Amino acid sequence: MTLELDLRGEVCPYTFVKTKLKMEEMAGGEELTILLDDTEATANVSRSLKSEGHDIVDLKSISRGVWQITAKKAGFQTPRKERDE
Amino acid sequence: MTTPDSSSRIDYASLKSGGIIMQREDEFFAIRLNLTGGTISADKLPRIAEVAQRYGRGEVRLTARQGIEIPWIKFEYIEAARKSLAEASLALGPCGARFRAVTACPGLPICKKALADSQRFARMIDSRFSGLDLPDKFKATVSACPNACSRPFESDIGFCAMAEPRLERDDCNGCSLCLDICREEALTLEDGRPVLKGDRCIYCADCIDCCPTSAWKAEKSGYLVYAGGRMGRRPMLGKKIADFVDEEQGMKVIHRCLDFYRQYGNRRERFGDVIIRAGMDEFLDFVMKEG
Repeated sequence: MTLELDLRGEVCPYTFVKTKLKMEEMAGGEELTILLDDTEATANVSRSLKSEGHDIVDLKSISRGVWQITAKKAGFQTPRKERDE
Repeated sequence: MTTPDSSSRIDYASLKSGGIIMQREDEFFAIRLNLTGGTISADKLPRIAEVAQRYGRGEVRLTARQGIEIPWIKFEYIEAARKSLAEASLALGPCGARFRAVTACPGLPICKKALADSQRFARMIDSRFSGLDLPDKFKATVSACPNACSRPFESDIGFCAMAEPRLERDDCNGCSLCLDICREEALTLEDGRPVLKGDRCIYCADCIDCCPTSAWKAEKSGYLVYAGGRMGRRPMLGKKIADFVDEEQGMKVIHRCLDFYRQYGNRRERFGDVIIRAGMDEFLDFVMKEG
């Protein structure tokens, strides 16, 4: 199942902070779809995800001014949520 | 603390070589420190504070060119203040008709827009050229991208790092994020892929930086060199004299510029005026010639 994160209306650096928190809950190999409505934030989130070692599976404009990033979490570790339980 | 009678031991040669500036009231001086690129290690700050409190009026000011000055130092305390600063490896900043302290933007690895380590190059330039006697003041700066935060176009010699983009078409997913990111409207879509149009690109590398599939590569990168710029009484912008040079080539360009300036410049004639008087072609021939 692909997880979703709607960050429309959010600005940097919260866009990336929220993405990072979401990624921490996920298991390696899981995919996250992120919606953004700011070009600069889209570039920043995508760049940061790449530099943290995650895969950008897809990045596209789904309607005027709205961008969708699909990222795949790196590694195979258990998500933090499950470890904590 | 040095006693007032130490004035007989003042080293006039070093006073003249710069760093000590007479204030309006001629019994007071300001000491200028050379902070290359505006960076200083935190452990040196207490010594600056100490000198300001001990020999000045406890006041420290930032200069317009990323330096620090300690004003209100009495003539008889200059030598003691200078010694105290020297003990902490705090160098004085050149003043007068000399190659001045080199300024720079934060650059790599701090700034996310940066394409070069501008601080490192500034330190290279500073250690080689700062303090050299010249016909007039000469200011050099290094910027790590075309946003030009350290104002390379307004300096006697300015370095500005840039990268020329080239698209690896097979790696491009056609997302067109680069078209939206480009602030110069230098890109257009052809068959679903971005292409550079005309000569609008200013080599900022935003397209390379934002590309999710790393399809944009740097075809060429390095410093563009601008010469003859200045602000002040009669401002003018520098002219581009070299493309995509590395640090070593940049050092050679400065060397040749200074040879030219010393050979052709009159006393108190700024570099840009010498270039205009001699002619840009003549100047470029001189600079690009091996020597």
